[in-house]
Amino acid sequence: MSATDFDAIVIGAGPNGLVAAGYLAQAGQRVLLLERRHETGGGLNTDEYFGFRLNLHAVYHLMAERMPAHADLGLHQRGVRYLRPPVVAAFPFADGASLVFTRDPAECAQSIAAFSEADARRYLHMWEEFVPIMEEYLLPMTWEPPLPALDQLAEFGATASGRRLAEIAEQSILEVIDGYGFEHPRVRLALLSFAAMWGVDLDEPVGFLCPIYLTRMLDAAFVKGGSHRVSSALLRGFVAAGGVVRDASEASAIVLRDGRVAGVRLAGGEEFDAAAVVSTLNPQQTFLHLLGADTLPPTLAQAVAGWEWETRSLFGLHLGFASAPGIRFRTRDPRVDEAMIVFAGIDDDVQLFEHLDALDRGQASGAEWLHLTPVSRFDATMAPAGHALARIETLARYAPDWRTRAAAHGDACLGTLERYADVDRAGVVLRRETTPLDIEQRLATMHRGSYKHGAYTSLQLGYLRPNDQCSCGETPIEGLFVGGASTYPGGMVLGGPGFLAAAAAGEYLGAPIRTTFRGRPARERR
Amino acid sequence: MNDYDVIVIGGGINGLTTACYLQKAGLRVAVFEGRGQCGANCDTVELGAPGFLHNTHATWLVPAMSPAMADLDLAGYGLELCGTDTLFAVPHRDGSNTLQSLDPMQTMLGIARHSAHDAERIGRFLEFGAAHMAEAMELNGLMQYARPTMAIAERVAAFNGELARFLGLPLDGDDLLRMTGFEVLDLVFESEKVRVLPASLGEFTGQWPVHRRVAPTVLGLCGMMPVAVHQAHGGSHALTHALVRCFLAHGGALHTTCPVASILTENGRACGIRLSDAALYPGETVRARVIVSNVGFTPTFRDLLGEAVIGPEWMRRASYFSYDDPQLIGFHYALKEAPVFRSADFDPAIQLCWVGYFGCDGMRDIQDAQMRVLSGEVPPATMGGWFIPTLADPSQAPPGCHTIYAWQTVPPRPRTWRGRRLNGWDAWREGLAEALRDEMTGLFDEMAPGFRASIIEQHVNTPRQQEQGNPSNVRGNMIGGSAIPEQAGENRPLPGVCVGGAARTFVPGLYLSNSIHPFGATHLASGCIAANEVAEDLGARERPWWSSKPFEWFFGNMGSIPSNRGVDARWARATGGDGR
Repeated sequence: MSATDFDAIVIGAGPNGLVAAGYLAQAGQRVLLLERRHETGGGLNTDEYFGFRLNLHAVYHLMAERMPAHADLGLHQRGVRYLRPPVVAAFPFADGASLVFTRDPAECAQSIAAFSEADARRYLHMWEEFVPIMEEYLLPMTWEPPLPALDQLAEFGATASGRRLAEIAEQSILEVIDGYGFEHPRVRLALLSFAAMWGVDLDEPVGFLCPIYLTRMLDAAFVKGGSHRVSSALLRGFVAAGGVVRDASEASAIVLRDGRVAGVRLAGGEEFDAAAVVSTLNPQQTFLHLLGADTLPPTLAQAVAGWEWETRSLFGLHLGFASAPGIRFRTRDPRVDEAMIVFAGIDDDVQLFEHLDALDRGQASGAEWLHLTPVSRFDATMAPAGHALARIETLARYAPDWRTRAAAHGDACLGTLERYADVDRAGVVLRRETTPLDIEQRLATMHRGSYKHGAYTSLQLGYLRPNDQCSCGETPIEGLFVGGASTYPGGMVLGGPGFLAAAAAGEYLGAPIRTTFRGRPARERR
Repeated sequence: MNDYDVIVIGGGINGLTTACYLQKAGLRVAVFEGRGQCGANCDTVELGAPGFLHNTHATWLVPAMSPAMADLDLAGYGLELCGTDTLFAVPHRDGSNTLQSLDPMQTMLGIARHSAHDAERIGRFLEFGAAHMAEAMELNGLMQYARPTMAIAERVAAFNGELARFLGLPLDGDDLLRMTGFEVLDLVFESEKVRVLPASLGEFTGQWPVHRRVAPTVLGLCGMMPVAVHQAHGGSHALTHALVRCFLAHGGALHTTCPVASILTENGRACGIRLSDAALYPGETVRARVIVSNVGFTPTFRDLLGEAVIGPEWMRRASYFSYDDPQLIGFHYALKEAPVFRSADFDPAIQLCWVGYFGCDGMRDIQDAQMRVLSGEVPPATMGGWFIPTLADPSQAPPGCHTIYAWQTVPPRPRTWRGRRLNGWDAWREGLAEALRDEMTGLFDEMAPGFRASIIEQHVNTPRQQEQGNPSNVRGNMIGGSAIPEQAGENRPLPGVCVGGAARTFVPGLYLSNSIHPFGATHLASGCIAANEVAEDLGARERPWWSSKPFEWFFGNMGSIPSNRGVDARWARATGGDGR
């Protein structure tokens, strides 16, 4: 075998590319992992900035140890440690009151009860319904090949929680919250925020996301040492298993011979041969740029052309302070300063709806509502000794002129924050804005700042992500597999797309991947 | 956690080099790195605007001369070197320039435009080099990759004395050992414009001509021969990547986010480490047969061992070890287009060059600046060096765009600038950095008109930030401690620390791969030296692959290292190059 001859080539070394490459190398395949950037990790990157560690994209991990790759690829042994601060989320309000969510639903209900005792009961009721839905269905489904909608609904009919899931699956997140009867504007704000902060449209019929966001949010975890710990652990396992990495190497074409995948060509002209290629890029990059519309079956070309990007992207602001803590909230409950995620700027649900509408119409910048994470409070390695690091994020619309607006937006964020907190502006020694434009330019798969590689709409989720021909990792092109965030089950560092793509590619290569993941016993595999 | 044969504290490039050799030799090695990633002084970071890669220190890379290049197959692990056809440029204020080229004849022709005498001197260097190439290379290898001894220093001085006689200079080797670099330059060249080139090269390579004992090296630099200096495709961090991959592929254990709190000893012998409470495995202890510290002298002896182990006398010496040598303040620019030097009208080959030095009207200005910096003053006029990595590797910026890393030398704790009193270390957070950046921007705009208008973004990088990013860069010092004579050569780090070699310390079982001869740098020499001594002591040295000589990889591969990939075709045509 020559230096340019591989069993499989994985394009893109983000979380899913690393997962896919790791499984295939572990299955004994000779694998080449190609990355356009100078650094592997994609959305898991943590930049070292003179002693400050900046997670420029993924910060919270919602499935953390639950993803099969964690056990299968030895992430714990390679130093991935999740931190779970007891106070997960806090909502300080302008009048000094606050809502605080810890990892204990009873404590959450207690905090809610200060505003509405009925809502506190509703919250516990909702929680009781969501937990079995998550455990029996949504969690295992994350790493099982998706089913077409009707088959899926039929399967949900088997148990009581399945039937409840089938009901809410068709609703919007707002309808689900309304359905439980939540009435206090601040409670409604908090629950809706858990979904809206990620850019999900509250009116879109994707209600099955509601249990995911509401329960998994309260299990959100940081990675000790920065998100890059996860990608470097994956990379280390891959290299130790004999995998070959090429960074600063952009793929320019997937080479076909006799209609079948034969390899990959780099932008510089270099070519590598392989029987299988796994692309973790977005559908337009994979099918239109690397293959070309004329090589695709017409139905696939049509599906790819109709791919929709998110309407809301993200703006990030990192603040490094010369001393800790840098930011202190002026609320009565001291737990707000201990929260992993503090939402600030909006005090009730109606303001939230107005804000999201205004944002979509281009009448708000996004800086009016933010969430903040005092990173170094939980992990001292994230800032130099004696310093502090905080990260602010807001929703923001993509626009090509973001570079000229970044500083003003950052100032506006500080303005919003200072309505709730004291900020040591004089002590700021690092300030770094990351705009939707930066997201796109750093990570080319995130077109238009689309950090999920494409909108979460009912027509782009489940069996339809990215389309009904490619959602199980396979594609109509022999030897080509897809496994990025645009593939089922989607983004958010679930490791699902990479896992499913590796499973499909491994089968194709006659080298089935090894996994401890069993899925649901009752599940009828297609 | 497992026990190991070897624990390496600090995953910088030299610690990794030691780790790679020993792991490949069959020992069980673990590396503990405090930061989130390895290779601190070889970081490549998108400091701001996406796609613009900035090397926050090492940019000029010299692993091509290292035996590690072949022994560890770093190219096979993805290290791809590249360079430019013109190696070094000094543009002058009068619109002329002095250039060092890959092609020595080209260098000589350029020098002749300033001084026939100096060009003739270069010709004599070439003659001498051609006749004594093998010995020159052997000595160069010994000076960098062997335990430093007075015998080697004397051999080098004698060789250079022979060179001096060949050049017709009234010197012998003993004279050279007593002279400063500037004194040698006075004797070799007559043109101040020509003298600037080796004088500034000395500053680039850490061989400050102002010091004594560097004269033999400075004399060598006067030959302006092609050297094994390159950069890495994708940025300097690619060197770290290759070392990390090599280490992992041979089964090494790498632990990042693991600052070490102390080195454990048993009966006076180093036998393990304890991790800090902030580490990934808080407070955990790990044992090994030997410990290699890559975090430098003072952090290792004062902080990790402490008085209980080394006693009050060494504790004081460790605390007073000098880190006050001049340091760099860096200025990182993201640019819409490459600078076009005014002096391209004089010799357009400057546009084919990614490294240079400017801001002085002659060697005397450099001498003056170095004297001032040594006494704690920031020189009144900005002069310094610059790198334009994107001229050799366009992948480090978006299409058509470029990055520049410009720097000047400063005292780490400045006391005065242009008559203004400064607050030492705190000055770096009190506006001095930004003021110096504006001066540098002005200088660049003067030498390459239009520079200012092409700036997309700029960042400063102070000695204080260097220490903040990597606490073993004490006061921003990136070579493991001042290069003053009492801390250099066979003295390094201080007389009595290293016994029976260059890496073995007076604490049995403890080795240094940093703060030892010959200063931390990308030739990976201190890492090679430490690997050799540990492997000898553990009986793992004799391995068939562990056999390459310094410069061997370079001479075997120099013809295939790509040059000038990113240069605008019009400049390539102007000098007859093909713009590869």
